[in-house]
Amino acid sequence: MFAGLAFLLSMLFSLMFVSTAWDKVSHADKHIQSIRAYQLTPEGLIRPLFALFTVWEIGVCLSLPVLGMTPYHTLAVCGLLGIYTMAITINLIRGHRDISCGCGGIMEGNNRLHWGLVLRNTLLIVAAISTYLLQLESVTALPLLSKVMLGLTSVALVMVYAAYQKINEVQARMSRLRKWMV
Amino acid sequence: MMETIVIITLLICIGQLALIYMLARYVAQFTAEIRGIKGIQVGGFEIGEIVPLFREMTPDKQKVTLRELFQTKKVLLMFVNSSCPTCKSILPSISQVIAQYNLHVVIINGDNAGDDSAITALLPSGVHYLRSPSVMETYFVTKVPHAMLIDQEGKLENQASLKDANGLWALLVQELGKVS
Repeated sequence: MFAGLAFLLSMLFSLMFVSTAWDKVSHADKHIQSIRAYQLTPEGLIRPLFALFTVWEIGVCLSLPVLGMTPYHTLAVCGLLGIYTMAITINLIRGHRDISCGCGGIMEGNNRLHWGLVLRNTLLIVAAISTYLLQLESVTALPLLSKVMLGLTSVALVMVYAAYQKINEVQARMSRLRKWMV
Repeated sequence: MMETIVIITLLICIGQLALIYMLARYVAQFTAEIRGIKGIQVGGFEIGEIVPLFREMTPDKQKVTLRELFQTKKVLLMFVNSSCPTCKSILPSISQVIAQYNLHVVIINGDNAGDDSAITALLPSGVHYLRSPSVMETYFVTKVPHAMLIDQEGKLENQASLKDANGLWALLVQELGKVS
């Protein structure tokens, strides 16, 4: 039971970072601009930092399904989310809300910073630590077939979330268009 | 046997979800491209509506923050383009506008690739100049020159698509009164 849940959560983290890393690679300019908009790093460090975060995310998403949530993965996931959360918090305290969070992939929301992002990232950090603890508790190894089923379940869950986000986006645009049509 | 059925069911679910996602994405892209309905420009701001804030860097790396500007004075946003002759005919009037009205003036060039020397040569001192297609897009400006007057609460006080300098003066006189 614990092993299955831990594997499912690890897969969800892996897929989350697949989508964010893919978005960073395919829209590099947009993400570099996002880092610049946070106004926390000197100009010369923006591109190296962008490369570091992207490689960090790729490393996590590729190794998580194979190795599971090891202590190193827990540190990597919490560290990455911690850095993002700190950057968002500092900008919220400064009153800079009109910038994109730059989260990318399925984590990208509307184009404004809000405290909900801090809450979401904090919950993700808690989830990462819980996954690690669940994995420690699990005594039996999962059979391959169960891993396949859990992997597919996590893909389905991520797809549900992505479709929900897109439908929300369509709904917001439709209501704006409807306002203009009346 | 049971596991195989579960795996097949999950694959079908993923396929269906992928279709829903692609359909939603397609509709989102389509609605984002709609710029007008029955001749009405969609997405423009109404008078009194709070306009989106922006922070941009000028070509000489000065930070321009809309919030900081309108907290001290009203702001005139003037949208132009490097290749727009009407814009070039209006820009010489900006120095008189600054002299007569207590305003911050931000000139936003929607072109960030072409040669803008003809525009920069006409800019008086004291104006903020940005090259930002994204700000233009955020403000739903599709035709230049276009002027927007932002009050000290960050709300749109008035806006007009300009044909000449008289249009700009008319907008300012209407909102701020005549200054001798």
